[in-house]
Amino acid sequence: MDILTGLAAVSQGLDAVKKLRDLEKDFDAATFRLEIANLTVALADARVALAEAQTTIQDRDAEIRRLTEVANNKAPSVFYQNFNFGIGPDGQAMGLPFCPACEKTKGLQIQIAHLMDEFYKCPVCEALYSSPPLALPSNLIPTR
Amino acid sequence: MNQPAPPTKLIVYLAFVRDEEGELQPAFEAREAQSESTAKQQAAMLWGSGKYAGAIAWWRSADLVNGEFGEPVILFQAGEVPEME
Repeated sequence: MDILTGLAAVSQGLDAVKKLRDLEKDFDAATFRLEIANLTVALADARVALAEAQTTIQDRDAEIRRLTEVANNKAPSVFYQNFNFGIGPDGQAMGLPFCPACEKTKGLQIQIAHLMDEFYKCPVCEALYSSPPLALPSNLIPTR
Repeated sequence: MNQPAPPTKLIVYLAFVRDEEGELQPAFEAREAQSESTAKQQAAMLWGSGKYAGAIAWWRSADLVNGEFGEPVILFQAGEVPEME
């Protein structure tokens, strides 16, 4: 159930309340009970929709926090042998290069990690790299 | 007379996943970083990937000769992370 459905339920509830008000003039017990039932259903639907909307908002807030962390922590990088190497705020190379797949698909700068022998693996997308460049030559580190 | 070796600064980061029982478990062995900024940046990226329940970066002094470790200093923490011991 989405927010629009919840709003529709609230509208139905308000309509039911209006009909109940009108019934005060010409009281009919059966109609009154029917409108009370309609009102109860509409309010229950609205409550479910609001609860689901709250969950959706919380999920989106968490996603915004994650994406903000990513954006705030992006490091400048230098491209070398098909890999980007991060440069830290101290001006030094950060070490192993970033996973190109994660950079391209998600904009994430994830350093690859040694798996075994000449193989390296991304801890996020689990892409395997054979004999990647392991360090940025010092002459490619930007001077400040 | 030889001077005692200065304490080493261990800078690490780690991410966590929830196992089938819902318990938080390290996703891999803690990774050592060359600098605090790298550890913080990598922990933030791991958490930002959405693959992990939480991520943390910290440093602590370590006297590797005597096996003594200082109190951990948290550099970055996000999501679900167990209590530091």
